[in-house]
Amino acid sequence: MNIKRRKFIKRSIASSIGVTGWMASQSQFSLMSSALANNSQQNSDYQALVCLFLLGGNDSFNMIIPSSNEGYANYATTRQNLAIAQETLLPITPLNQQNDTYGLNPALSPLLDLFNNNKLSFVNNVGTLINPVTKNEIITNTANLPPQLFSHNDQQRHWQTAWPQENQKSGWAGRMADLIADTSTNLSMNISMLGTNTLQTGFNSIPYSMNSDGAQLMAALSPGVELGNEERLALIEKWTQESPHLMEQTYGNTLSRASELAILVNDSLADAPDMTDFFTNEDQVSADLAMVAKMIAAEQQLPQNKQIFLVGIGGWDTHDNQIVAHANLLSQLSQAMSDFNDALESLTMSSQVTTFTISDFGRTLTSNGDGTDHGWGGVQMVMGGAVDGSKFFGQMPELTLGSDDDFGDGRIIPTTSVDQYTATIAKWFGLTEAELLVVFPNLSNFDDSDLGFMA
Amino acid sequence: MKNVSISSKFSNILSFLLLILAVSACGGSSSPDPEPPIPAPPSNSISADKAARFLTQTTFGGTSESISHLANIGYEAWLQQQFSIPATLHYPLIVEYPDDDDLSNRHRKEVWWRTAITAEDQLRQRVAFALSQIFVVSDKSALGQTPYGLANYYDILVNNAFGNYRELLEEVTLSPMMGIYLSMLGNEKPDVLRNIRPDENYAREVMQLFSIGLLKLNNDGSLLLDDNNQPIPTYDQDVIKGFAHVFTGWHFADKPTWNQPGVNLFDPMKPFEDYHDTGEKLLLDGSTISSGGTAVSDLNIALDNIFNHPNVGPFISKQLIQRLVTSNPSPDYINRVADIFNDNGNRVRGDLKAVIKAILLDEQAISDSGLQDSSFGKLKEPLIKFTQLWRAFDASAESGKYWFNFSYAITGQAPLAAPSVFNFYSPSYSPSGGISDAGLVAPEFQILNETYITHTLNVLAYSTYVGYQGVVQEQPDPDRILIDISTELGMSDNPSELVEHFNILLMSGQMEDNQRNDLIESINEIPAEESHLRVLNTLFMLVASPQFSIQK
Repeated sequence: MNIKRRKFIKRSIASSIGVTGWMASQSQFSLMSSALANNSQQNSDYQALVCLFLLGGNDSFNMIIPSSNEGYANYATTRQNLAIAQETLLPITPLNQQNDTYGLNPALSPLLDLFNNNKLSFVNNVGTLINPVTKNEIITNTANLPPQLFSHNDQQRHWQTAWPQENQKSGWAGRMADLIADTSTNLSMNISMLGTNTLQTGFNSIPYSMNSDGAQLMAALSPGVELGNEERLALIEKWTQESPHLMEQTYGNTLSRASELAILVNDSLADAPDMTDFFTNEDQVSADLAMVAKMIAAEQQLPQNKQIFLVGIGGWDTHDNQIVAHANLLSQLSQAMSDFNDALESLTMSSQVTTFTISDFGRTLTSNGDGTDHGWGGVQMVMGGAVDGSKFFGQMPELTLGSDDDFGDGRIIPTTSVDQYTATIAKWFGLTEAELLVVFPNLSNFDDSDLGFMA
Repeated sequence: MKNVSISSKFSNILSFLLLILAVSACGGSSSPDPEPPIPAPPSNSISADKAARFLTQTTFGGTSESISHLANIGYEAWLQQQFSIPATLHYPLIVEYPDDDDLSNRHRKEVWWRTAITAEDQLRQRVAFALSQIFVVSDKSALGQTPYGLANYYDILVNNAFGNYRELLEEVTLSPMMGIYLSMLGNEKPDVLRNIRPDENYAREVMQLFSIGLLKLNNDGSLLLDDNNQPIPTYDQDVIKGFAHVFTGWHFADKPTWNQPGVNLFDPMKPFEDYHDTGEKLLLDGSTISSGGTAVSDLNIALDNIFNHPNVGPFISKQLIQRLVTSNPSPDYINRVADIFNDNGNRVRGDLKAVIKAILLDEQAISDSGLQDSSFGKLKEPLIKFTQLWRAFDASAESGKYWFNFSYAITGQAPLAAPSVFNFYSPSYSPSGGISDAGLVAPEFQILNETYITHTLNVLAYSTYVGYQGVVQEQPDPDRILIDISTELGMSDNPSELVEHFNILLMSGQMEDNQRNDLIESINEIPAEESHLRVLNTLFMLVASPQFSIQK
């Protein structure tokens, strides 16, 4: 791609982001990040994160289930008609000592080998927190609770921003890109298969959106497709620059960015191997992960030495029909994860890519008849060659109603924060201790800033 | 043949689009004789500009005819006419399709597009579409197989667009579609032994999204703050539990008993008292329902409790303003409209007709001041971009149908097809950069990412360069939607006339000199005998431009 075009993209991206007046938190962030700018441990080896966003709130305490007679009885008493049958559980033996024995939900069978081969671990009872809270503090109204617990969009926002106190518009992956992104390429380090999102939006960076078909050119505007496209695109860009209207500018900048980056991405993907054959199912998450694997294979061409991908999977808000719906979701997710791992191993990239789940919240342990309602803490999964696999991290809660872990109706009070979970991943991705505290402003409220699941 | 030369010139566009349109048949059509030219619209007066602008706020797009009609009769009379035109309902149109295994939500969407593009009751349909983005149900759910039921749900919005919010809220609440979507259908009273408590889904979302929102508001939409300058939540988990208990005991209307079969997807859900919780229930702001009520009496008290909350006026008014007029209404504007919501002048609360009128006739909507404001207006919703193009140029397909059922894959938007109850975009979404720096919001930008803007521009290219009546294509397709540019072809040797015509029709006369001069220059660069290319290239450049994309 020619120099002129690259310069143009830089200019248009810079002007589309703007750097002024975002609010105090931004200037604070800018000061700290510029002070840190030269201290970053830039890892020359390629690394990628793949975030699987289980949209709607995964009933994750039905993923790993106590299997001892006593533990299971306790679980079954609480979960009643939503309990997974004891005889169907797939036994797993974490390498680190647990207080109980556990089995996997049979719908997660594709993950069994990954767990047993040290490629996958579970992180227990993770949730949105500002600082550690106890049930007693909640009852006595002395707990500093995150705003709008149990509301989908607010809890999704918290998972993405890790900065709930203000109306924060930047996400932790976006702020990471602000700090460590390799700016030799105009393509954002953050690549979204889920469209616009907060997680990957920084103060000075925004994600690039693509889909499972890759990037498309503009038939009547992208240079080289049709005669006259250069002239037409130039006119649109001229009208954008001459417009005083904020929305017209934003529209025009988006158009320019899409046109220019599609050429870069398309050219880079041209020689990358097709990964779709690794995937068993034809669902959207498999298609998305096949394209992510292809983008990872294309990292040399792009060139990007760090990438963060966001893939969304909807349908987890199982207020009804949970028995059937949740099993289908788990089976779809786990098959796609296992296939994705195979794809990465074929590229010998498995150790350089860490895949992890996030979700709005866990769900109530109690039933509303045939489903569950919005809870709080939940279980997450991390997968990859760099993961300290075959273990449980964090603490499994009591599954008894009314226990010290129960906010009420089996909404489980988290004992590990979003910040701890994501900062552990961010540290592996190359952030220094000082950078972690900038990206995760609440991290210092918790004892452990590294949960240890990244080897 | 000039037609042939255009088609071959843009053959790449076709091959391009075939990739993304593989799901839908999209060949060409036979080439009928061009229709006789339609008389040019009335001379360009200020009132034509204003009429055209008003139609971008009130309809799925102005036409030469509707602009001159509105310019002649004025705002008030036009609104009165629109209020009195009988509603075009969607359900009767979808049942015209054969009831076979093939019938699906694509047929429902065809009915939606046909109605949006051709129906006379434009204001009602536009308001219904706005309401469908507040009272969200979606075919991306268990409702994916219920096109009849969803068409019928949409008719609740169409029928109540000029009605009362309280009635609308009740019809939505009892709709079996909403019952399925937010799982109030089949919701039972508690069963303590089995750890079963009422489903909280509808209880939560009816308050968070359909009526009052999370935080207490002043009448002008700003946050009400407590003594410590902190926002005040409108409800807590205990209130949600209260409403969850209210919404128990409702099921399909044709069930003889709770456990017998029945799947009536149309009629309001019916109460089954044995499954309704009759205990005391906590509502908003400390109100309670005393024990011993029925499913119906509890529901009425609870919906009245929501309806009378002071947040409803500003919460609903602001979102309707955002859908129709501007993303960032001033507090005064919201206040004026919310006042009308609270009391239409005849002591009636929730009169949507009065609210719509207050929104559209507000000085902020119709005065020229908005045109001087670099943040007034809104990004056109993707679907409305297409309806505006197709209405302005009287687009039709030989089959009489309007198949654009793949619009979600192209634009991120389709009728009753949001990814979740949170709609396609959030009312408070603010894209990074100038808009966010200025503390403003622009909801529709949430779906203007690289993928969707590219697909949208490609379908716009397809719908202009090779989407006009008379285009010659190899595979005739009776379902191909083609615009009629016969009037514009007659103006192709007069570039300024052509540009000014587009200016009124598509841009409400808001085109600046730079764009006008550039367009005229680009027309002059095309040989005069290439009349189609002159018209089509200008049209594409306009609909692709930032200036057309923002409704001001």
